[in-house]
Formats: sequence, C-alpha cells, structure tokens
Amino acid sequence: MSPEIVRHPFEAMGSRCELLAVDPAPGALQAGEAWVRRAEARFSRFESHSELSALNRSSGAWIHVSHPMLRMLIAAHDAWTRSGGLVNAAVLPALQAAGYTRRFAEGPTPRAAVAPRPLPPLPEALEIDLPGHRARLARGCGLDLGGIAKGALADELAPRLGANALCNLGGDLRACGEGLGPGWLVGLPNGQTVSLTAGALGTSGTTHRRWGDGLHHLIDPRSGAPARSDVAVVSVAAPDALSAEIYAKTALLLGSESGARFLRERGLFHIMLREASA
Amino acid sequence: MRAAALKSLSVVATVVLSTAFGWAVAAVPKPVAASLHPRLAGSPFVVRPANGQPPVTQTYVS
Repeated sequence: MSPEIVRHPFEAMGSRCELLAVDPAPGALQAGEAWVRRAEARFSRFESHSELSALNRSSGAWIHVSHPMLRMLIAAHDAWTRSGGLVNAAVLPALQAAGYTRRFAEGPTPRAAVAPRPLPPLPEALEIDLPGHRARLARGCGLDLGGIAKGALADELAPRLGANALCNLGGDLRACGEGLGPGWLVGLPNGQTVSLTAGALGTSGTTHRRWGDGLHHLIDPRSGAPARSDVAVVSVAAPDALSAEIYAKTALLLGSESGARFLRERGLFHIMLREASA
Repeated sequence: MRAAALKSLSVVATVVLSTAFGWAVAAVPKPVAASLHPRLAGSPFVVRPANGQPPVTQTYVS
C-alpha cells in the first residue's frame, strides 16, 4: 500500500488548526489535538483559570511558574531580542485599550479613552528567575502570548506526531520529514505553493482580527497602537516556527522596505503583500 | 572525489531552483518583495517551488 497523508483538523486558540502525518501511529493526531487543548488552557489570556491569566493578575509579585510556562516566557524574551524589540509579549494592555478584551468571536469592546503609549521593553515588564522557576510582571503590565505561543507549540508538537508530520496552528506551521516527497506542500497567502522539508512557515498580517478603521490585533510597541504598516501580510520560511513567526511579525511592523531588507539580511524566503491603499 | 562532485551538483541544482523560482515569484504582481534561499547553513530545512502541485495545507493570517 502506498503511503498516505492523514489529516486531523480542529479549532483551537481561536484559529483553524490541522495536524497531518504520513502513516501516523494510531491515535497520534488525536493525542496531538488533546496536547494543543491542554496548552491552550495554560497559555490563553481568555481563560480565567489559565496559568497566563494568573501571571497577568499577579501585579508586581513573584509567582511560581510551570516548566512549560518558563520555556514560553524565555521564548517571549527571545522574540523580543531577535526582533529588536518589535515583538513584545507585554502587549496586553495595548490590545485591551484598542478594544480586544475578549475572544475575537465575542466581538470588540469600545476603545479606551486614553491615548496609546509605547510599550515598556519586555525585560522591564517581565523578569524571570530561572533557577527558582519564578516570574514577575511589573505592575500594570500584561502578556499576550498569541503568535509566539502558536509558533513555539508547533515546534514542540510536530516531532511528537511522527517522523514525517506537519503541525499547523493557525497558520504557524512546522514540518518534520518531507511529506510524500520531496516536501510538504504548503499554500501561501498569494496563491503560490512551496514544498517544505524539515522547516517552518509563519504568516503575520492585519487582514484578519480587524474590528474597525485602523483597528486590528497587531500592536506596534513603538506607539502602543495598532500598527500602521504599508504591508498587509508577510509569510516567512525558517528552520523553526517560532523564528518564522518572529521574523514575519517584525517585517510587517518595519514596513515593506525595511522589512524586506531585514528578511534578506537573514537569508529567509518570504513573500509580502501590500495594503490595498499603500 | 565523489563527495566533491555531489557538492558541485547540489550547488548547481540550488542555483537553478533559486533562479527559476525567483522568476516565478517576480511574475506574481502582488508581492512587493520575494526571495528564495533554499538552504540555511547547518539545517536540513529546505524550501523550494512546488512545481504546480496542489497544497496539502496553508499558512495564513490568523
């Protein structure tokens, strides 16, 4: 019998997710979905009992964090460093001020009356005590792990699905192996298809999760307001999904000229789509 | 000797693929920037053109 791709689609983290594998072990993809749901319960800012919500409520106090949370917070710091400060997980107050206070499907709430302010640098907002397994958020700060979590989780889950598998968490995807050969075939937002072997693709954009003129979920930490970029969508291929996510978001925030230069300097395959009005 | 020949072949194939796909990307009107770098040093990661095959999944804005 020739090898076949088995797919397992589901909704999680407010996004379409899909797990694929070539001839997976029985139950492997279902176990993958359960793993994603446990991760969502830990990292979602919308779940009042999540570990992230507990951290966001901790208001200046050191609190114990689990090993998975510790790794995610380190990933957030890594994202901040590699993006030159543009991918800043301490974005929650700015998102809430813009009206994104609850699950997107539940609709926006009115914008805050106060003017947006630049975000604090992440190392000032979030301290990590590695040996003590503790973290402290500065008063008034809050985290939204959003795309960082999707990328990092895709990286962690893909190899658990099998040696020849692909994990797609809301467009942040990580491949192991090469599908049916010579790679996993992945569609890009511009209609092209690429073949991906042992790597990742990430997409960032302002075309979804919009709720009004200039209101969307991508906050520019330099202003604290939704980004005003001439780029609508960026997709980036990288060895891992967290890197792809970081670089795609950074390029979008930098705009078409600086963003393309940023990606070229790192030797990364990418596509960019302009805003219709740009 | 054989390893050197294989390496040369790999470089040639990479250049051909890069060039071919670079043209394909450039022919699409919407992207304002595109590039192809199939291999990054030290990683088995490869991205290359799909040659008209349909995708099995998508990357998208979520």
